[in-house]
Amino acid sequence: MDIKDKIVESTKEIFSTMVMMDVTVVDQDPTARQAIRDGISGIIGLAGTRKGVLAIHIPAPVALAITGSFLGMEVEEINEDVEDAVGELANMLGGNVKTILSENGRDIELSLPTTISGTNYDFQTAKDVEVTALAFATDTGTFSVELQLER
Amino acid sequence: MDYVTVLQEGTVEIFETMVMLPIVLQRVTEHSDSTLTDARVTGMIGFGGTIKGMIGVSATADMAKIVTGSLLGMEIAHLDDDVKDAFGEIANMIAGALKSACGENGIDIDLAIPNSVVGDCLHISGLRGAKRVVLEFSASAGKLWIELKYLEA
Amino acid sequence: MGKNVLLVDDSSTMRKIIGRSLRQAGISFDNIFEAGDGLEALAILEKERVDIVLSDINMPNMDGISFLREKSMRDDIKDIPVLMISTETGDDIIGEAKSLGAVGAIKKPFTPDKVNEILGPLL
Repeated sequence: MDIKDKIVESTKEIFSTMVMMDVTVVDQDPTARQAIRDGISGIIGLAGTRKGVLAIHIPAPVALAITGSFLGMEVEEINEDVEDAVGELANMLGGNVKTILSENGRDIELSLPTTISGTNYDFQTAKDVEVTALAFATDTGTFSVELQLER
Repeated sequence: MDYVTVLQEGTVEIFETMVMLPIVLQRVTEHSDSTLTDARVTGMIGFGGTIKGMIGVSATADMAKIVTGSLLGMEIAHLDDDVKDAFGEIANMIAGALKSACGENGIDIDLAIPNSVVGDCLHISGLRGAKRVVLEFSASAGKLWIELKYLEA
Repeated sequence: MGKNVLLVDDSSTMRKIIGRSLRQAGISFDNIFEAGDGLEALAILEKERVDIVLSDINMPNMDGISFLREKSMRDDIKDIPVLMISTETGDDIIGEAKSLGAVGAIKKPFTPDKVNEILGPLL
């Protein structure tokens, strides 16, 4: 199983067990280089034997639905609850990627997660990296998960 | 370890030597949440180890263009890929200064890779339970913020 | 005949910054070659005439130390001088670089004056 399949498996598992939402992989270009019109991204760094960044990019309506289901409450705007939920998603995905990449779980360290929200924003990694990007569908819309790893 | 001093000295040194644009520390805020609503560009890098965290370097649009132009030695008209690259690299350099200072204090940290973002109404969240410190610098071209979020293991 | 330089750093931004610093230090080269890691650097050294290499230490694929070691074993390129440009300040790693043939080191962050002071005498 390659890393792409493992990220799909992890994402589905996190969403079905923690967020209480089923997500499916969709065949669309998930590149995060495209500007996000209105949304939130959760980001966490990987350091140590493998260096990289794991990011989850979520359009605002999808982020509200995910947070609502995750926290079991109504959410109407991108607020601290949404930031916490998206940061926690990045944290869990980062933890899974760490396990996937690491021999004994000790040679890769995770940073703290952070979120960025805004309108018309786009990302760029500052180095030549290997990018694995996937788009997932929910009832409300799609979001993407992107792993950048230093070669 | 005095993180504020480390960040302040590291940032000032990098701006004096590499960016060649003098900047002045205006104020330091330490709280769990803050909004950098004037920022149009943010470069960030995570780190892990004995202390885990994230460093962000944000700036207003004009400031970002001046800083990038001076750092790369070219004219910058728009918030383009060069600006993103420059802010990723500045975040990387400031994180390098933090890593050195941590090393001298017997604290081991490893750096992730930088990412940067350009956008409108950028809002960067902290993490509940983590410490967050924001240093606001100014220059004639505008403002620049260095923020550190960290959690001691 | 003018001189050629090879800049080796995994950050293309850092290569631009070094290029800018060279210009501001008043050091001009006929050709500035760029490589993102030690492997690319070796490939360029095999086919281009390079007078001096400015190299980072921490890089993916082949880092600056492995690059020096590999280069020292190739007779055709082993005498090309390499100046390290790195955030690494530890005496250990700089000492190791020098034992593998590095002619000196510039610590990041650096000013154009510093570049001139260290690189100037080597040209």
